[in-house]
Amino acid sequence: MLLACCLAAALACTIVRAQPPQVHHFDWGDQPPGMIGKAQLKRGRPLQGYFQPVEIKVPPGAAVSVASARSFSPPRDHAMIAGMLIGEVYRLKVTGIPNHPGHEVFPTIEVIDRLYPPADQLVRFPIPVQFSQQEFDLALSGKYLVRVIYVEDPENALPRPEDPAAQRYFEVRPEADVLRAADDLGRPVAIMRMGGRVPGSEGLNDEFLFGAPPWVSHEHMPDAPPPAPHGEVELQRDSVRRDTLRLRPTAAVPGIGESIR
Amino acid sequence: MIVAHPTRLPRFLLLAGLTIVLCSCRGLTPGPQRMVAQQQPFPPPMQANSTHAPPIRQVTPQVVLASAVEAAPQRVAIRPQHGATSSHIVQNCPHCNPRIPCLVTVDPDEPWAPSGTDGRWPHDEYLYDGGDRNLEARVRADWSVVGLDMEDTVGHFDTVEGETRVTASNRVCIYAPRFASVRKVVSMAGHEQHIFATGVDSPEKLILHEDTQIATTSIQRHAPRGQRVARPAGIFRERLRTVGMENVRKPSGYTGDLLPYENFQVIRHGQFDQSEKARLAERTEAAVAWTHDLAVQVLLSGQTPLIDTHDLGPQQVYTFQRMPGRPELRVVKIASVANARPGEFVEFTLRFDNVGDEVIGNVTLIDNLTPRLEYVPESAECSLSGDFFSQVNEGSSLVLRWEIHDPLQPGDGGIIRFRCKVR
Repeated sequence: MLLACCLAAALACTIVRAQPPQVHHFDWGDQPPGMIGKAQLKRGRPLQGYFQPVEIKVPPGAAVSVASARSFSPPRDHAMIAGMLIGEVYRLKVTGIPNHPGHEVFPTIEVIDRLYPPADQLVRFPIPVQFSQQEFDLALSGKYLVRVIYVEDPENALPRPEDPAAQRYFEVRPEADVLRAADDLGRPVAIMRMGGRVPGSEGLNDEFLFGAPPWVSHEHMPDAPPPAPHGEVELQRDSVRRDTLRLRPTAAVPGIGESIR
Repeated sequence: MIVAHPTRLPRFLLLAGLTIVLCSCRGLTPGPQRMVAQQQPFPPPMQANSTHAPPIRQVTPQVVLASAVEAAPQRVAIRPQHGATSSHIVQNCPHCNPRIPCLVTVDPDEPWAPSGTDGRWPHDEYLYDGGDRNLEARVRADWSVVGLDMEDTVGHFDTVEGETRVTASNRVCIYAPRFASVRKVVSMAGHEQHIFATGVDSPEKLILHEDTQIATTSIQRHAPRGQRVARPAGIFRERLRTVGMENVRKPSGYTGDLLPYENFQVIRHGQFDQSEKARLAERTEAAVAWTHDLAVQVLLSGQTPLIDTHDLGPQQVYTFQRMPGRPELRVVKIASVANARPGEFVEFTLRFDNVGDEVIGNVTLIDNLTPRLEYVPESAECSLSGDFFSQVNEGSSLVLRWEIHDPLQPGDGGIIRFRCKVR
């Protein structure tokens, strides 16, 4: 009996080791801001001290700023890129919301994982956090929103083009765990929370700003450039090694509209 | 022999049950990388041609996607991982054709990856195209292709003996993460409850506050610490004297036979140049090229390769006489960029060569695009005469297929280009 118990325990441990390490086993989406990111720092990966670029987009006409030293940074129109520490919670302020003059919204962003882009492409591939007009309408009507942004699994990706103006999302029921749903679809990297929170009578204190952790400002890059013109392919006979490959002259190269179709 | 005491038996069972429950978590399904290699029987050889005439295409084949293949016993392919040093030689790299020895050199400055991880990491931030992963692609007697998985790029040809062989290309990696989100909207009551839960932790601050009032001497400790960091800032100006000037010039355009990213000897002439190995490995993430270092030299002379292995002291010469009749097709795939955002375009180039010593026919190149690559219509080009077909695959992308008309003589080859948009 003891041997059987040991074998069962060993088998269970083996199965656990084979699991993907990115899944949040002991966290859930309704935890207080900062707890999920702090738990990620204990996993031993190079997350401590890394400023992950995050691209924040708001509808045209609105401006966004990030908490900095018991205040907010100068507002930036439409979009900005900020390098945020993993595990920290950043309070934002969105002003100039269309259809809601004079109102302000104070969402938060918590980065819980990082990307590993090429060394010279850090800012080109930030984590996108896009706020839609509908989400501002919901927040200003008294709703509370939690949105988990995740990296899509390329093998199970939806075969549809990405709209750079609107981030794709799936809605879950209020009683569902939003973090677990994101775990099933990909690798969660950031959590956005918005609604129902304004500065109290004490103003912008550390509790409201979550200590105003440091962040790095990056220049915002425009969206995908327009496609470059596709020139003609000119494959000519090589004069040095013409015996190795016989390529047709330019005029004889078939295109898709010709005999190669 | 260990015998559990009757009174302790329930305790053992309880402990074992708790161990299993605590250790078992969700996500028990194995990763998709472990699903490998379904064995399909070789198609019966075509009718033997005793005159050794170039084979002629008989039937326009049809691609049977991997998901449509009937269930069969699977085998697990265990491939070695990349080495930890730049001089480590790896056989059967997961990015390359498993039948071709790989000489991938690992960059010591590449991003961190957890131990036990093979290839690029994390996998969900890269797009892959090329190679022959999971099910091994094979050609049936009716010219249909089975075992063609998503992202696969293979070529098949017929030999003069009537045998149909399949060759996989190398695997191309493009950094192109895509994001989505899961949203939950709750009413205000839920939010207030959430804030109250945060406030429950605040009594800890009151306890800490009482302690600091008792220990008044701690205030004096903080004062000198603030003085240590004050430093004059006049030294840095003197270091600016040795600032040099650089004049960086970049080419604004390119006019020539091939596209800029195709400027390799293997693309131009079909032969590898050792001096371009590093750049080629950057584009293909493969190592189909041979290596040449100070210790080992490999020389090819005509039909008989001469391998000369020598050290600093004694030398040994090995000569191999290769039997005639060795048909082989090599497929090299490169991409125009190494990273792309959604909406950007990527151009792929396939260079295929008859590197054997006899003529091959019915050369067919197949590329099964991943769901996030959208083929740009009318962008396929080929340097040889042939037919181009496309078919929708299970990922709502396309399977691209080129059928070359004329047989390829030894040393001959061609180039295929096509364009894709990153979804």
